[in-house]
Amino acid sequence: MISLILTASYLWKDTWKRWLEQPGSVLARSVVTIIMVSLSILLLVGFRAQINKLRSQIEAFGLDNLLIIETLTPDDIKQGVPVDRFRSIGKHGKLFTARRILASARGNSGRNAAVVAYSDADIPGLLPYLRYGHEVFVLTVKAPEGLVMDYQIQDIEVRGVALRPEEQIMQLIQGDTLFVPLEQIKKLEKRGFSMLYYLQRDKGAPDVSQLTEAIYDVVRADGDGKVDVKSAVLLRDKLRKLESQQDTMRIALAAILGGALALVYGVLSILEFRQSMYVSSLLRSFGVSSMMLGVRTVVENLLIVNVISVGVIYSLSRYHNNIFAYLNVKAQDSVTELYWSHETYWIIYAANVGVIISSLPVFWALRKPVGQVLE
Amino acid sequence: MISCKNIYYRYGRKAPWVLEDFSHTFASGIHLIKGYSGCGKSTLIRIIGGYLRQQRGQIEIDGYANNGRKFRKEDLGFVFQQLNLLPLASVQRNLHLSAALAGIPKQKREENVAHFLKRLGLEDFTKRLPKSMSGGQQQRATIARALIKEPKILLLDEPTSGLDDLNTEVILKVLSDFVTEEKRLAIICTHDTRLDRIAHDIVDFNRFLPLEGHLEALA
Repeated sequence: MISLILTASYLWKDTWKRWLEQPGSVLARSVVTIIMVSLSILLLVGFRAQINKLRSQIEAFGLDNLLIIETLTPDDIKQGVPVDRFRSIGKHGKLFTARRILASARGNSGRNAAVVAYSDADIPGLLPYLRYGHEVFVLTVKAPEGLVMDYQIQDIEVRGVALRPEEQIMQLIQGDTLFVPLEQIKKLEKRGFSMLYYLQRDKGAPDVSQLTEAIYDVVRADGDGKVDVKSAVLLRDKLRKLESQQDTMRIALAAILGGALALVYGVLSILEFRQSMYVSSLLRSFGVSSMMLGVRTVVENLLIVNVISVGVIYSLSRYHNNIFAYLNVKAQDSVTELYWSHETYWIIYAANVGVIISSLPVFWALRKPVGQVLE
Repeated sequence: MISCKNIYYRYGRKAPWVLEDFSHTFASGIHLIKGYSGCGKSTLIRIIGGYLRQQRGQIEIDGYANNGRKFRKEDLGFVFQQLNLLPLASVQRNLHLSAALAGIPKQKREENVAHFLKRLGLEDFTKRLPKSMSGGQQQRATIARALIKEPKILLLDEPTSGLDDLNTEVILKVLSDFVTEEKRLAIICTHDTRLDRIAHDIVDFNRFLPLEGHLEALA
């Protein structure tokens, strides 16, 4: 045991002296590790952030829900394109419908609101809000509930009451949204609008993908309309595709990273080993095993690669928001979860494997007989 | 006892044989190997020490073909011609490491370190790094390192080359006492005639070496 400690202590001293005398070699290894690990981690974190975003969208949207947005231009309206041709899907569940008017309402408080018009046929979906007896209302999370607010839409003045939106309707609106009976703003409808259908599917109804297919069949049969169908099923397909791409990328990145590190560390290790070959041979002549001397190279490289990798990952996570803001990517996920995921461990694992492979030439060089080195 | 049986060695496949069918037996005592440069003296002791592997033939130590790492750690003291001390370790640490690797217990190790440092006149240099010592002091420390584990076999390659008479005298005395006290075996490659008086046997390697090249050069 004491021989092991004495040998390890000497090897550490020798390594430290070499680092101080030739910092270029350690720096080169560090810089390559920093660049490779940073790139790999940023790419994977970007992917993971996107996946997490999709997952939360799916969770919020619900797998049984379907949103259809049909945009009708003034020409469509003139040509008499039916405005509520998908209303029949209401038989498959609870349907919410409304028209998003292409105009905004200017509030007396200075805040603008999007304008949604509803007809008599749309009332069933709005009953949770209409039961308070106000036919004009504003769904908002900012103003106090019950506050009466005046709005001007073009030359039409309306007065509405602030109400809190329920979670489901949050999928359809963004920011303050003013709901007005269609008769009051009928003339604005001619400027074009988006017809919204939000279906919460019943359990026995055809599944969401079948409903989606049926809607597209109708659109194809009619030969007109700008229809956009959104559902968690579509998001889920997108998510699966993204996850598959992420897997491929993770393997590719791990291979590239491991390969690059194996190459760079391997070249530097063998150059350094040649410089210290005399001392290594001397230690071998003392009786130190070649394995221990080879392990010294492995430990040295593992130390560098792991300290640098962990440091890089910690730094990236620390400045995550700044980096992603600079890259113009919105990042709202938990930073710890993003950076210390199994994809990250894959990268660290690949770096370690690369480093171990890089040490193989040293083990090979240690086979040279001591008597051919020492004089 | 060391038996060399039909040893062949050459440095490279197309190189001439340095040792060709060499056979010899070394019993306990001090053996000097003498001969011209390139005659294979150093090669032979490296093969015996297991630092080179002969292409043909066999080395037997006390009847066994075993000159592996355990033998080198525990039973062999070897002195190379050049740098034999770890440059970043003090003399004392060099000695301790060598003894520890041989598995010598702590108390015995400390006794031996003190003993050999004293015998070789190095008590005042225990904490010194090799680079801060003279060539003679380094060589004495090297001998101490080889003796510290009390090996059965000592192999020394030009241990006194370039040393003054005083240093040489100290080394010869210590070596002679060490070998004769416990009937150990030492093989010393040397050109130095000052070593002749402690030798029990002198092997003339020139008889194994074709001398045409040397004679032509002299003509």
